[in-house]
Amino acid sequence: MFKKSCMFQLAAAFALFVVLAAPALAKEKAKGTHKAVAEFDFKKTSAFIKEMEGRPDFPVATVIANDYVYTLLAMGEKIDAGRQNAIILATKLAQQKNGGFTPDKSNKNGSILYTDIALETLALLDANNAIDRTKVKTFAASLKNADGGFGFSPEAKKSSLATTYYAVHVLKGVNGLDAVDKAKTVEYVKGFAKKEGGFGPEKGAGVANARSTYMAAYVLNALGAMDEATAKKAVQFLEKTPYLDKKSKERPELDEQLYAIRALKEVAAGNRVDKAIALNFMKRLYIKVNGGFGPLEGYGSTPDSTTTALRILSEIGKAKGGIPLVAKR
Amino acid sequence: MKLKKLVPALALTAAALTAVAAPALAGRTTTPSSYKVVAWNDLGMHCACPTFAGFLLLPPFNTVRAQVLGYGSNDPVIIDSTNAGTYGVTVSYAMADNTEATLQADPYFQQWITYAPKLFPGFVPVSGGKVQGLAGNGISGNMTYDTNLKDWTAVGIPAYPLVDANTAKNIMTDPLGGANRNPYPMTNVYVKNASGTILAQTSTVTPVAFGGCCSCHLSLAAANGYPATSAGSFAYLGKMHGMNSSKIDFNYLDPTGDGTSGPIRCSWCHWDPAMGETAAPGLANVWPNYVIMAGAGFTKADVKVSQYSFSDVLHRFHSQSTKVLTQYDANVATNCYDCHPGNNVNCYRGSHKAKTALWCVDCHGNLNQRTAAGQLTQPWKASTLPSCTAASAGANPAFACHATNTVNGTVYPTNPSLFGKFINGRGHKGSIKCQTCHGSAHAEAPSTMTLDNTQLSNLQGSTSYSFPAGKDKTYALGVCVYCHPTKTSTWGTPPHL
Repeated sequence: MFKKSCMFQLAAAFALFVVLAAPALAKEKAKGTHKAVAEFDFKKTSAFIKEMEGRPDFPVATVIANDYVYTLLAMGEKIDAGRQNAIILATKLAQQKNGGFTPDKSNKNGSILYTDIALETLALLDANNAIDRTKVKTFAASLKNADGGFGFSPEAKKSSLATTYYAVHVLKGVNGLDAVDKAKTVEYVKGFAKKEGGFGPEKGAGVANARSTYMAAYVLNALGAMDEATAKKAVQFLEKTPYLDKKSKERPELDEQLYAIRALKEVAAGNRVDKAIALNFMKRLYIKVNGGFGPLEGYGSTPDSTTTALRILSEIGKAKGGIPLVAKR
Repeated sequence: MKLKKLVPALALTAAALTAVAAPALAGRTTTPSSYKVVAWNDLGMHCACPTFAGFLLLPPFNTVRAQVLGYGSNDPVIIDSTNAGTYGVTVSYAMADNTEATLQADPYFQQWITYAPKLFPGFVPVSGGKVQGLAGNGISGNMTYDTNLKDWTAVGIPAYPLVDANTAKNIMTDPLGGANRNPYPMTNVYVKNASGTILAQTSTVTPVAFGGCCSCHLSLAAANGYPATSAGSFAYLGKMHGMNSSKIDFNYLDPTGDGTSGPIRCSWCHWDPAMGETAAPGLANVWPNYVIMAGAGFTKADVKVSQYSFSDVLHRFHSQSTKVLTQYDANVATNCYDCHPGNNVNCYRGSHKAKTALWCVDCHGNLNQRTAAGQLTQPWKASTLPSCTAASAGANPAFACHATNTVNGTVYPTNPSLFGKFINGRGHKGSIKCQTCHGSAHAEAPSTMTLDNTQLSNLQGSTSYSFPAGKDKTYALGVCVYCHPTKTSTWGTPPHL
């Protein structure tokens, strides 16, 4: 009770500080420089993302905070100290006793997904040590299953490729890969490989996609188990996607574009990334009215899809923040 | 549920949403010398599916409402079903963009025509060559007076997004790869005398759009070995449904016993107020001779009415599924447009959107909050909807809602129930619907979409009207002289009581 009360007072005092300091912070914010890329009006993009600054509950949620931080940094902007602190504090408060992080303050169930997102936010703000990283390792390790995969949370224990990727990603970020049973996890992940190359989100029937291919490749690399044949087949799969094949009839998707680039880099084929395709796709997703990016052609922009677009632009060198390596930890 | 029982309920639990006293302006006997009419769409957006062969989420079903004022003295008379008869006037509507020809030639709408009789036994989607909606209203016809809600209503008109000849209006992407469509068809509303002469008319947006479901579900189907088509998507959804505790893979359900699977209406088992239901009818009551096809992993004993509403299972599943969160959208609890019409349609487009960073979740709560608060167990009930003065139960708005008795700084006597639930609430002598002056929910005036503002721009477009700085004719109806001939022509905030 006492601890809760203290924490509340601390949070309230900090909130008051943020409010009082707002005018000064606004001036500091105005000094940020936009390294504009000719194709996009990053001033508008910045204004679009900064809409959330006007919300009294800023930074709102774990994902939204990550959107804000990544996007502004990717555009070469500085985040003022007040807001950085607000984000760090909110992220700290999202960490639960078991070490996992929640999607927002209304939720008390930590999961590996939001833990991964929270860690990236802190890494971007150079605030890795603001939270208890030992607990993070314990939390991620606790999600390990007998099949070699990892679950989503203590409540949702079933393994999947995605949750295994997030766990390995998190464990690598906190120097905790020793908690992984490497042989078992590699075997589990390889079970998602598809005949045509690449990896899919499900075992057995179903096709590969770029997201799963990236996730599997990341895990295999992290565990030192990437082999030449797997890498070669992954490239063969990716070559048929609209992210490398200009003649593909498949409708490109924002997330898949990002993961196709990352997958190529994971399998040491970064030179195969077709930057022109990616850039043209981003141009088609760009919403001139507000500077945001949509998830699909013809769709409106959201903060999440705008952030993903900036991740892609970072990966192809069209955003000057220079943060892809930090983001990938 | 039989169609006859279904239809009266199709006003979206209208009675439950009614809150305030009878109109004070109704019942005067002086014959009006002129009339004015204001119309709106009840919700500000309706969804409809692009295909109907597999199962039905939502049918073409749009509701237009209107209030009619009669003039002859200083204060107008509210025209209701009683005095309309006395004065010999009718209120009618006609869709301006959806036509009989284009609807019946539309391949998606043709699917509706084909499968609707199976989805709603007894329903005839085309009668006498004319399309009709589930409540019996076609694309034109007379409006009826809703004595509960105190407005003229055309319930369930079969509005559908169209491929418009004016391509600039085709802002909505077809997730199945077809031509872009216009999700904002217009409907004209008329007041006519007994000889059919138009005494007053207006035009309102009748928004209807495809949701965002296909944008994830086509990929999901492909990732699981099914074709990336609507049919493949339905097939995999059936399989997924079969993997939950119900065991029912609805690909194995043949409702009519004609030897083919589907189509399935989700609300047969999961009650859905959007279908006008207060309880799920159960498949056996709708199609007593339904067949479970060979190879099914369930029996008739498993085909039960669910205790969960359709809204509940749909929202809860998506916000809690680790597959959705890790493979599609970690922020799905907040990203309403993943499913609701945001496909360049921008369902939420009203003045709230323009003025602040207010999001859907500030009024309704995010999916985690809505689930935790039990909102979805009783969807569409007045108790779960936000009002002007408070967000929905369980929501945690970042912004303060409107004070109960202050409008733009002017303090009015407080009546806590005055604002009720915006979509069916009334104010201003207890007679005028909130939406009459403020426009449709989610598109409150001034809307960020020009088309929404057309009606108010026309109503308040007289050059003799003046507006204070920062306001214009697109703002909520506030020029007193528009309704009261002897009052000011300067825009202001009318009394809300």
